[in-house]
Amino acid sequence: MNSYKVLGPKAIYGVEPGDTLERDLSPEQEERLVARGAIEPLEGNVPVEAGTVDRTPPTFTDPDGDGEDNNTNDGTGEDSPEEGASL
Amino acid sequence: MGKFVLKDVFVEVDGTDLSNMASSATIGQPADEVEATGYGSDYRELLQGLKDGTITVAFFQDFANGSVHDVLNPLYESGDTFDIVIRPVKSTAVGPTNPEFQMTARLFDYSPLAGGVGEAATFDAAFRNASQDGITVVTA
Repeated sequence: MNSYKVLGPKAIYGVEPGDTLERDLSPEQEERLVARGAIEPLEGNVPVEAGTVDRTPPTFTDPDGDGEDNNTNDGTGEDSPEEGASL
Repeated sequence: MGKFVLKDVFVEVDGTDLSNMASSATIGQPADEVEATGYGSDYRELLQGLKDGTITVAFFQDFANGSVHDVLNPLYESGDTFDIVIRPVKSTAVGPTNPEFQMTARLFDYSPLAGGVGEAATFDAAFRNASQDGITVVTA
């Protein structure tokens, strides 16, 4: 997993400016984000195979700082939709 | 989760959180209506054909470094594909009651400046589907 410093002013994949983003970006996307000053590659990164897209949702951070998941529906009910269902 | 008011929609374009610059978001996924009516019918019979996907977001324009224009203009100029992600509530984890809608998109039109005297600078960006995945719903 490659690492980048998020430079700002916007969060990148849920990582705020000043923090470290750990994610494999496609070469094209890395070039775009670096070109507009959004991220800075850290040492030790390796090129990612072209065409690779990481569709993982950004890491959820606890806005309340109470360690609790604000989502009260744990998805275990009978009517809960199938995970990852496509429309 | 019952009825709710849209106040905290998450809008991420090419990995960049543009939520606070967006004022509306519409997820559209029409499918072609394919006629399959045969003789002897009183009603048309329709089949679902090819689907499409468009996510339209109304943005406030911002030419500051790293903001709206810096994100969207290169995507339009290059024609590259990128991911757009929409979620009903930004501050809540992805889940069955807060699904995340993801689409690999291209931008075919970008209006960097629009508006009349005394109005906020806003524009609509229509992100069009650019893969065979369409709009994917993630609930975990």
